[in-house]
Amino acid sequence: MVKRIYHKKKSASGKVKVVVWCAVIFGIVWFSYKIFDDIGVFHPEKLVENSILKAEGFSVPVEEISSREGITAYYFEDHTNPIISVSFLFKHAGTAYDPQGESGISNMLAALLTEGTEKYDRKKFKELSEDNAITISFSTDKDDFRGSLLTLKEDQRLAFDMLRSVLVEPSFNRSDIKRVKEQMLQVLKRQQEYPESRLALVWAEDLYQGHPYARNPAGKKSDIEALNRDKLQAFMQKKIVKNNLIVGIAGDISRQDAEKMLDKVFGGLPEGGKQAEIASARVFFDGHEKNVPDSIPQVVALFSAQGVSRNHPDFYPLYIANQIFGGSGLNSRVSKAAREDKGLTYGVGSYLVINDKSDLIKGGFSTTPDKYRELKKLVEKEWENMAQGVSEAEFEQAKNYMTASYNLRFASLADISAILTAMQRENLGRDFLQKRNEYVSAVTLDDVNEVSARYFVQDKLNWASIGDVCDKKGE
Amino acid sequence: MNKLWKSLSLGAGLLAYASFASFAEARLFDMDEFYLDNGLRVIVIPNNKAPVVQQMVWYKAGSADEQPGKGGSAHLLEHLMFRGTDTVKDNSFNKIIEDNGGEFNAFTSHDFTAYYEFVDISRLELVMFLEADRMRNLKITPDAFEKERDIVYQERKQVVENRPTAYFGESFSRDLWQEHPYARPVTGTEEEIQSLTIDDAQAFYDNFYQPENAVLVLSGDISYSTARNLAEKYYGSIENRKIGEKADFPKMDKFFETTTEMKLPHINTMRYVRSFIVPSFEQNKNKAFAFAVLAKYLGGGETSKLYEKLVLDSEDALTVSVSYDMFSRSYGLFTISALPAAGASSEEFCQEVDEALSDALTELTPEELQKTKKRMLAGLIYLKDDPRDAANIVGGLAAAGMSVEDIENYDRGIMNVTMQDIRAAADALLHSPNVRGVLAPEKGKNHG
Repeated sequence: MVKRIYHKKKSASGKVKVVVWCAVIFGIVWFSYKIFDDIGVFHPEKLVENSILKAEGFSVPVEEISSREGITAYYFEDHTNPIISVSFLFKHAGTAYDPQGESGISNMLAALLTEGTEKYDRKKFKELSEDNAITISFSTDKDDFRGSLLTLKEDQRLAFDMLRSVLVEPSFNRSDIKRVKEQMLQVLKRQQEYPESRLALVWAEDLYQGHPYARNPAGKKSDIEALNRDKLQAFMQKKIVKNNLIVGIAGDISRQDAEKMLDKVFGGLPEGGKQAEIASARVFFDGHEKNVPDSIPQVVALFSAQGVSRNHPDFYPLYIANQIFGGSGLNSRVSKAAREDKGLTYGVGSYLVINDKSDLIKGGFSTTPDKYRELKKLVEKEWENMAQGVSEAEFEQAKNYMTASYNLRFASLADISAILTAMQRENLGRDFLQKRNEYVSAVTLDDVNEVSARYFVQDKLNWASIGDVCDKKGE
Repeated sequence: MNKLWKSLSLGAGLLAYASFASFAEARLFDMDEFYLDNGLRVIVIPNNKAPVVQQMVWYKAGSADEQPGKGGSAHLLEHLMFRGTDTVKDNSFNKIIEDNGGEFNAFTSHDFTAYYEFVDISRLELVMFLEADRMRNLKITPDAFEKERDIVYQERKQVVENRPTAYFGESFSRDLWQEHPYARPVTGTEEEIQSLTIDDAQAFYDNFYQPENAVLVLSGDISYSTARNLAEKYYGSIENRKIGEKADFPKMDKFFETTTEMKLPHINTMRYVRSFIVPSFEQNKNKAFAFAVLAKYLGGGETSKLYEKLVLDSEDALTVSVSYDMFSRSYGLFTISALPAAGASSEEFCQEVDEALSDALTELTPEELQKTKKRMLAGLIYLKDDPRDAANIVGGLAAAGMSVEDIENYDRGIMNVTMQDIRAAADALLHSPNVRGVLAPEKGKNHG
């Protein structure tokens, strides 16, 4: 009994000792873990949390303004610098809408509109632009014809009058047409000098077959040669009109002045009738590869699959899924697998292409012929893996990226006015800039996985490449 | 690798766009500048339009400072800077910045290596920590080294060898710069890349990645005082070590003039370029401003003299432009480039440009000079719009040796150029070492 008690006692004190020792050891372990945790392991989120610079509730309040004549625009007032940026576009006046036999005409127009007007002849136009730092420029994409104006506040009257004159009374002088034509014909030749631009043409032809998206956006030689003043004027009369105009204005201009500007600059344009339509592109994604053999040092490759339109419910989930698969930066699945882990290429990635008549997930890379097969297989493997879903961590990271990078888009006034135009073009709503991060936050992991399974489909990735894809070492 | 030159010539281009009238009094960027005890130069450019900021660190060392035969080590090191320290392991640098919505990259030139992060203001401290960490604690592992060496090998193939014009550019540079380190490609040659070792990259890092050899630029929504505190907090404790020996630039003041013509497969249209080796800003401030005005007069935009003569009047060229890179540690470069119209032979075209150049130089009047200077200063204020532009331009200029006062008073430098200065510059130009280069289609191909 005594013994037992003693024993018990001993045992009890032993247990106490064990408990105490355990506690001490646990304490040491815990303490060193904490120290290690704080010193040895870097916690970026803590640094951000403790930063003296906090995230600001920054917003770009967008107003919709309307002129006396009923021309509307999105408008953002900012007085940081005495600068005004105007961005505008004419919907469906892009290269895919060049009339039959007149391919290249929208590009030619973009070049010729800054070559002088009735009021400001070429020399005067260029001198006024330079003396006052007024930049007026035009460009085209597949769908639309775009323009932009950048001016100092103090020169706004002159700048707006120059733009008005450009839009309603361009000169289209014979000598300027001749020069621009020659420049365009040279562009056609230079397209064949670089593997990337050669591939872009082959890619479009292979994917879009007879659809207008398959065309060379720079035009066809015989069409360009036959372009003239009459055709340019007829094109303008039909396409550079009020009823397909979209305008965004940002910078140091009052609402009243902005409204007046709309009438002054765009008021003289024709109303415009019914616009020619083109059909949606029917693309067959069957996993084939179109190759142009060439002995260039590197193979250049593009891959594409079915994408999604901007206002489709799948848009945000797919955007996030693509961010994980091949989105911006070096941390995407394909970039990690091919570049960071294997050194197979300088860069590989993918993005969503939003066009009116065809939406794509599109990506590409360059690599030496001996690595091509390995890299292509790797991309296909990662593509197929996407259908199995993504991890919670990947999902959170992609969303964090999208929301934390949000303010970067407001770095310049030209960026902002372009966003204002795009918001109207894609019908995103005037409150889009306030709502956008909510749209991103509302996406769930299940949404992303569900969409991934539907879009990242095995054997539905089409390929186009240029270079030697049959290299023996690449087998 | 060419990004720097793009950004600098963008800088020069934008600066060259500028209106004196509105800027006679104002400071261009309204910057603050200070030095930490360890020698790090810090420049702060406030811009409160949006809550974003660009951080840049410029190291005043580039491929020109490489040891003989070690071409490409500066550039490979630039890549390795994204491969981890003891604290920020492996390539988690990329992941951390992407997690935080940042844009980042780096570029290498003959003279500099620069790193940048463009982030929401709430992430500035984070990227300052990261950039300061890798200024001192880079850890190059054999595994990362081998991967990045493969990547830069692929990069060279992609941006130089797959592009006939880039290939021509390298050959042209060798003809022009001869024994000068600017003759060597920033990427290194293929053989050099393959033979580089960890020690080469490590040596470049130890020699040149020191606070005293760097410029930190913070451009965006930040106050001077906060910037000072944060710079001290993150970079202040980095001890400066001895900076290694930099490139010994040979003199290139002996006149020579050559013409080089290259025919390449895939080339369908002719290109013309003529480069002159002239003083840089670092070598001669006043001359540099005169060359800048001269370049604008001759070929800056569509109102310039050469454009008028060659494109509009004689129609010999489809386009022509002149640039002057004054922001280098050694000589500056004055370059005329053009696309000849269809039909002309290279000899004929070279002659047309020579004649137009000599006519343009004799036709220079005080009125033309005045007009040119005014155009260079119109619109300088646009540089204040985008904090990324400001960071790139100011960082590049500062790394090339410009003081903050020089940059703020850029307009005065331009305005002070006299007829005498520009005549002297024109005369010096024609007596500078120069090479004409023509890239042409192979025989039998119509180059129109």
